Amino acid sequence: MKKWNLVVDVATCENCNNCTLSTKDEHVGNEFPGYAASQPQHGHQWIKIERKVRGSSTMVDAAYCVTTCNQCDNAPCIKAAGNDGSMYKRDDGIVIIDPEKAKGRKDLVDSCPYGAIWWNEEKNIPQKWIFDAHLLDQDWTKPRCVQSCPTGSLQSLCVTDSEMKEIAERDKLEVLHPGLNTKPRVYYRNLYRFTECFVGGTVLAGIEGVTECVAGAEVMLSQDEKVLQTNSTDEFGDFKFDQLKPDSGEYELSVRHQQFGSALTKVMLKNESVYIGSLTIQ
Amino acid sequence: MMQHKCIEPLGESKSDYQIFQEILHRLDLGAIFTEGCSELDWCKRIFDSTDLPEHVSWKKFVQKGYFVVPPEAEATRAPVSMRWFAEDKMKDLPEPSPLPSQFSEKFGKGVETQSGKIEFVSSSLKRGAKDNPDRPAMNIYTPSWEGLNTRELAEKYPLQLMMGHPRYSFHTFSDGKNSLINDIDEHRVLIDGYYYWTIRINPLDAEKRNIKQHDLVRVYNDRSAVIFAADVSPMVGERMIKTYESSALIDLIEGDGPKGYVDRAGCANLLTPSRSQQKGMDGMASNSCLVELAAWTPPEVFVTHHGQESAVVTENVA
Repeated sequence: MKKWNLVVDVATCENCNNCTLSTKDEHVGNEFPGYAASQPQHGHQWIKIERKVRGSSTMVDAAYCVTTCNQCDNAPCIKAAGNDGSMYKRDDGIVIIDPEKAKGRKDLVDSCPYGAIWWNEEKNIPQKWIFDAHLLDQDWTKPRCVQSCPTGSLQSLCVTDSEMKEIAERDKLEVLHPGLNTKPRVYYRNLYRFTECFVGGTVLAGIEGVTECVAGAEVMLSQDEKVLQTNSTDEFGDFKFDQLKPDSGEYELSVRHQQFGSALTKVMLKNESVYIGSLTIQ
Repeated sequence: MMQHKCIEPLGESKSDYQIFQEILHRLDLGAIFTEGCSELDWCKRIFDSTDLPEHVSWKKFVQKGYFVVPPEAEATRAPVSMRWFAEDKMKDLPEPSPLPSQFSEKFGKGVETQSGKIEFVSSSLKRGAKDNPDRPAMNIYTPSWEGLNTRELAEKYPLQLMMGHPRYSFHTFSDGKNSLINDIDEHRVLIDGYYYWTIRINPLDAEKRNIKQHDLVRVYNDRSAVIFAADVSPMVGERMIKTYESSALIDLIEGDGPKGYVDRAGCANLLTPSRSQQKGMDGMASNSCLVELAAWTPPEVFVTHHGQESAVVTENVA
């Protein structure tokens, strides 16, 4: 049985909000009986983009993470709903809140640990992203958020669970908060841009009386006398070691350039990325 | 493109053509204006005036609604720009305004400068703008007259305001009209029932002024004061603040501004100088703008600058 999955690439999303807006365009003011009642004009973000900015000064990167209903296979919301048909999972993996039977079930909003269910005050119902099931049932090949994504950051895959497992392993895909054990069907690529840190800096040297950026200097990152990563500086003298765990303690940085000398420094990595600024070698 | 009617016109709405037609009928010039043609007749006449009929019939075109113009054949494409100049030939590109006076020597020979060459020192500025120090004949660095290096002013207003085109609206189009983009936090943020325009602030500048993410801030200088929602992140450098131009709204209320009022709709243009970049030119100098900012607490009752009281809730929501 083929089922729907969504794969989000955190590194290529650049926050255009086309996914959010096209989903609003689809659902605001439009009723799809059996699938979803209309979304209110404001307040709901069935697809919501979170932002993470790392670094400081001249070394800053921003990443954007599309969050939505995870269409969980072990969905806390469906459990909370009970057997009255207010919530159910379709054979193709999509989770649906019945717009009629879920009337008054404000408790379902709190049942989602991801905060992906929204309360519609006017209609007195909980609502969320339905993977555009109403369109897929009319032979659409993808939901609107995927169709409108200009950078290809969103990908919808209709594959068997074993195929998806293979893809997830091959591409090292992650899910949000795996510890919750809800078995999400929304996967993430490059999630480290959100969850992990970098250590970076700029290498300078006094060359013929002028302070210059040093390109091509070898930089080594080590911890407890073990070399973890090596890198060389770019044209601006910048280096960056990424995918370090937050709060992972003290690191040692050593820089060496054949012609211009070397330098050694220590950096403490707390819960945010660190740009150490300039490091002068001699 | 030939767009089909989507819905019947709402209320008394009319097309531009209908409006002009009705006005000119009242001036007894209707027939001259329309030449007896309906809107659709005009579409057909314009269609026939092009070479489109060679590619598609009128009926098919109307049915389909569009025609994709194929790329020009390789053989008939225009030559590479400026190659004629590099090879010292006559200009072989189409001339948009073929005036002989544009060329110093023979028509079509040399580039359209007074020397006929590419100029590092502009000969026309050398002659024509001798008395204007704002327009030197050779490009040189001119320190800003309102920037972080303008000592006295920068002591009073230590932040430089930068503005770019808005990302989620097209100028004022689709902002301030209750559109869906109000829900995008980097466009406007809903705070206490009002959608505030956002402004980016560096964490170091924010900390100095005790400002946190999505706090309301009053940005001010001698020209005006405008309220924004702070977006604190290192994506903008220290001593710079960054927002978008072209808020579609202006909402002046009594408050702590140089003229006794503040704008809370986010019209950053109120803060920028009206002076042009150079004397005698009309380039806007909207990024030569120094400001200071402070946390802002909304008053319990908003009084518009006309003296009318308005409830805390919100003209820009509805």
